[in-house]
Amino acid sequence: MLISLAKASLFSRRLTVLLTVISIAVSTFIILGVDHLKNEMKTSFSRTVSGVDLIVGARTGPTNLLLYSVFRIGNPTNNISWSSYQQLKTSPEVAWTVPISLGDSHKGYRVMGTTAEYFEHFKYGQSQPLKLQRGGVFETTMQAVVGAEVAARLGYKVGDEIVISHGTGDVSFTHHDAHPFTVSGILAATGTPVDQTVHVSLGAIEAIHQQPARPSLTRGLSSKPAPEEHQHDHGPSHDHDHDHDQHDTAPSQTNHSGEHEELEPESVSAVLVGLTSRIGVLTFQRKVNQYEQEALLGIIPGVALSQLWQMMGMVERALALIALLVLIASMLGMTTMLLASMREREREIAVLRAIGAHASFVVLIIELEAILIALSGAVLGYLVLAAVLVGLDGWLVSQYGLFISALPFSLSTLGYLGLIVLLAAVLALIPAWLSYRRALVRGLSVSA
Amino acid sequence: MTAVIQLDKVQFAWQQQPVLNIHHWQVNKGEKVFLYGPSGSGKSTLLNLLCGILVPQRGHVRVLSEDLTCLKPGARDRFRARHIGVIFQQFNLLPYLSVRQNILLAAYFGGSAPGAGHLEQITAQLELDSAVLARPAGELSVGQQQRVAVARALLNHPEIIIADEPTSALDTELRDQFVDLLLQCCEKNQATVVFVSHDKTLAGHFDQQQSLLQLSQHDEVATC
Repeated sequence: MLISLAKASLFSRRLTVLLTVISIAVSTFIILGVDHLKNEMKTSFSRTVSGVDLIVGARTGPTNLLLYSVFRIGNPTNNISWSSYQQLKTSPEVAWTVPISLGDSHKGYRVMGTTAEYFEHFKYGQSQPLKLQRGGVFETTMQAVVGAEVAARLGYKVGDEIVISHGTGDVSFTHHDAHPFTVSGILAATGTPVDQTVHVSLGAIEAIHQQPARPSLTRGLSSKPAPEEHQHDHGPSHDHDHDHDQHDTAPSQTNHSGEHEELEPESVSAVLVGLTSRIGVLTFQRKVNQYEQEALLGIIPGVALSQLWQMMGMVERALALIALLVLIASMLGMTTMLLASMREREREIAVLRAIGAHASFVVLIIELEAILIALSGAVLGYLVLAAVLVGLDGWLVSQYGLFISALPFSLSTLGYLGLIVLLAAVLALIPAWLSYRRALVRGLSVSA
Repeated sequence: MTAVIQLDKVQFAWQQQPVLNIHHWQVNKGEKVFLYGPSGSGKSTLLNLLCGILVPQRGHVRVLSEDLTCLKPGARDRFRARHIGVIFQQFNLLPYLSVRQNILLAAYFGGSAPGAGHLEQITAQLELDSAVLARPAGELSVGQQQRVAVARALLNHPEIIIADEPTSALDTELRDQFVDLLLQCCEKNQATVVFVSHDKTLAGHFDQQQSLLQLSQHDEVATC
């Protein structure tokens, strides 16, 4: 009886009720969306690198090293010399090493120089290896393997020619267009920064920077004489990690390692290291950090990731706060709606009192209405979010490389929905209490 | 003659202002009382006292030998639901419920289950055809609404019917017709009637009449 009365009463005010339900649905959408996004971010974060025991770079902050070596964000401040790399590689604890070299880009996507072992050892997710969707790993110097997103966004097929630009800005004025690369393979989507990377051999990076043919300027500037020695006027802002100042002197190292590399680099940006035994990670990390010939830094990816996530926690909390504020605003809206309706409902209350309703019945009715509104708003918000995530799934992956899984109905979802309903019930106590007081005093008299 | 309503030395003040001061008033079983009460005479307060929504600061209100002043609020509400039927001047019904749901609300609060056909029987007495029952109460004419209100008031077989200006929204022709129908139905259901109005022309329908102004001997009340 009580519920059908509340439902009928709500239905009679369906427009205002509907708007209130929608506003609560919107805030539920935001709250659950932010929470889901946070969880997804955290998952995809920890998915980005796996199977790598240590990342070694020149001495810098652990977060910085992690960002540029794994997330392709920011730039290396310094490089590791080739001799240090060789030293690292031949250490008895080391099972494998993959050197990476950064600093160039292709249409805004980072170019990473590495060896073919990268595709063998680098893992993501739960130790999933990289898979080629089409084509194969680079076999000659001027071949490139592109990530899934690069291929999808720029429409590359195996065999296409691409030109790499100097520097990592979105707009680069110097292009290495004397050395076009051929796409040899396209990687399957991983949902990690690998999708946004163009992979070339380490030797290729060296080659394009070492050739006497200087990179040409873009067409707009081509009429002007090119700078005499482009490598020297990069300036500090043009952060390029290859040591161009010494490029004239031929590399002097003797042990030629990579099969595909015709040229041996003087330095690399970072090295991914796999150990023979994971138990020795901490010892080996200490050894790297105390390496005397060069200032090196070794980071354990899992540890560095969790440190980075802690920093991201700030953003996460800010988002959560905004979501909460939106919820409070919509809740206040609902309270206002209930308060405004109380005046016109005075008669209703007098009628109910006359036929024997206790004054507290008014409290029950208002509470019930608030709970019904909040519950339908919360459920609506959840359903819309779930539907949107399902509907946008393919689009998010293709446009932004975002892998967002379907909305789960977990205990925490239930917690949020419960919180929304509880908050509504508490706030509805304000109009309920006011009406109760009025019902006690006014009794059967209607708007005296 | 047994007293159905009995007020003794009842005093009621609202925010220090005396509103009612009734030394003694009694309504006997089966009586149909016309209570003349112009606005400002404390009419609403008296009705609230009789229904047990308000309690006087002093004195006793006995209804069906039950001293309402001694009952707890919840008990007074239950007492009202079972023994008193109230009819207002207007807006007796919840417009978004059907006529049937409106009538059954009384059964819900009275904690009674109306016997089969009882609801139809009462609505028939009030000349409401059964097609009306399914319609939303808000769609009915005022005259129909008032008759539905009487039907609801009578549903729980109350001993007392209290009507507060139930005819003020009706035009003259319907007015007398309505009062006759009301009194007729109350007689059939053996209910005592207290009919409050400022319209003295209706007094002829009743076998007793009383002015609230005389009943409540308060100078302040009388002057306002």
